[in-house]
Amino acid sequence: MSTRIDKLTKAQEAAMPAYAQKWIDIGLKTGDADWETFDKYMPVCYEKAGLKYPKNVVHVQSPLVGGLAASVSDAILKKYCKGGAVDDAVDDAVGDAVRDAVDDAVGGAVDDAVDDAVRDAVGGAVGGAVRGAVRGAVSGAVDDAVRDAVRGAVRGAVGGAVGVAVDVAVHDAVRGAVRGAVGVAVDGAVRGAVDDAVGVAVDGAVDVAVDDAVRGAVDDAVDDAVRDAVGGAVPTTGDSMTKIAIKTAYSIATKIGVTLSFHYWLGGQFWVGGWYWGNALVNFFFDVCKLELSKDIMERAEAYRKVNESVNYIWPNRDFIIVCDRPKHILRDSDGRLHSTEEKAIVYKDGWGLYMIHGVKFTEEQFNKAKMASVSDILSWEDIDQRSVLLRERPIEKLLESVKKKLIDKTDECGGYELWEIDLKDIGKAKILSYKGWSSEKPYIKFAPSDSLKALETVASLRHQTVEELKESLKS
Amino acid sequence: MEQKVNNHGDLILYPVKFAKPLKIASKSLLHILQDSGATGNRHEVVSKKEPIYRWTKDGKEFISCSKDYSIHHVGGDCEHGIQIVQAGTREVRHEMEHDPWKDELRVVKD
Repeated sequence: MSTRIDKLTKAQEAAMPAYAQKWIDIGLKTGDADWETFDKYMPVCYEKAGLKYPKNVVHVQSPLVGGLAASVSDAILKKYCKGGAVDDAVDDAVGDAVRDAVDDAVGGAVDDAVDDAVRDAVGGAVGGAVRGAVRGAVSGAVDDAVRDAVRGAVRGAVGGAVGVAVDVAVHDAVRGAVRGAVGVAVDGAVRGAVDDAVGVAVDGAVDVAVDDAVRGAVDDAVDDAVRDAVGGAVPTTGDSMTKIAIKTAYSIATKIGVTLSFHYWLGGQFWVGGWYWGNALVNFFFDVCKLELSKDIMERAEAYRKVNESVNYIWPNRDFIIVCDRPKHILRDSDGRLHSTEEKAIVYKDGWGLYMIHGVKFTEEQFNKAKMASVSDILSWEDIDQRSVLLRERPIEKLLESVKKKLIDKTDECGGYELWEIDLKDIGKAKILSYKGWSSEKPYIKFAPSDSLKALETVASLRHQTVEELKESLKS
Repeated sequence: MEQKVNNHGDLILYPVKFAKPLKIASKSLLHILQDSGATGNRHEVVSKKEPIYRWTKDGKEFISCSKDYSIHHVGGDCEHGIQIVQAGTREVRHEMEHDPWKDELRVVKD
């Protein structure tokens, strides 16, 4: 056992790739959560943070339900069980306190015991590799989707009609999680309102009032909170399940008269790569380098490791913990990106998930349309990133094999462009530009005006530039 | 100092002579200049301290900031990365493409 690491041995260096892979596998694990381990070690995390462990621990099957239920439950408890800014501040700080106690405290202690160069080397080869494969390639998309859904509920931007054939299970899931989280802390009237609100959501009687004013009113530090406040895409294009979940959450909040906000979360298995430290990095020093720190630090490290090894997302609160089961499946391409052309690339046990092709998100409607898309449909696909990944599945050369075509112009300048005239059955004669992205080797294609004659002139014109300006701007 | 053009995927921040923000300009530390919707990808300009002003005049879109700031590609694989945008005024230009069904130009969504 060592209390200080100033240099890695050859064997320790050689162990890094396999150790990173071990944590990537943990981060992307599917199937059943290990509730027993979670129930054993999450209380230790609270204890180390100096917090009393709440009685209400609610299991949910997807982060969509967890994220919305946590926001609603927290808002209800703040209104009916406590009050005032002090209590609000305490609640907001619970998640931070837990993370500080088990992630940052361990990271800080390891930082003191490990040489900077060693930390950087392991940080890149282990921490960075795990972070990229788990958080960068997989959970980032889930994070975005859940944040969008909560933002939708916060604003009341619940989208359009959801159809009559939607499974009501999602109503029950959100309502059940809220009831489980607020428990007996609220009276019967509030519990009744939670139940009644489901009917409102099912009827689709929620009045939508998106408050765009918030977009221009941000004057705080630039961080996630700002991003939440100004919002991104309002999820009006989400799948039926997402819309129903948002409507349910919004209905409950409206019925009870509470204001929703994003509830702090921990990423569980998705955070094993951490941002700076994380389980993979610190445990490399414990497991491989046999670093041993104080008993207290080792207990904190073990608790956080066990929690993240056992479940998916966690919403820690002073009065409740909502915790999410593992995904049912995660499908990836050879680059590790979320990918499936047959089904949702990541799906949870309640059916919620994301359609992703080579890491690019599609709505359910777009995904189904892509399956049946004609050559013309793909070439004119509205979103160019989606178009690009569809072209990876059906390369342009193959796509145009059966199409009458003529090369009009070709240039190697500015990354290279080809201008083609093609004759499509349902469009007729048209011009297209074929090229590779400046930031990547991805194939792109776009329609050009029918009077286009020179590739580079056409590109410049579509970018509102002269050819000289285009060439000059690419140098900078 | 010569101002750089920022080519951020299909979004171009083109330097123009300093223009005083209009009174109606939106003032914020973060503006979403382009949002693709379904994919969740966004081009955002972000300033840590000095506000970024955003306004339109005669059909053209402008942003201005008194200090350097950054442009980010958020969501998806963030392939266009983060670029520094020099202080000053920029015209926000969106790359176009032809819509063969409507026979008109449309903004490229990425």
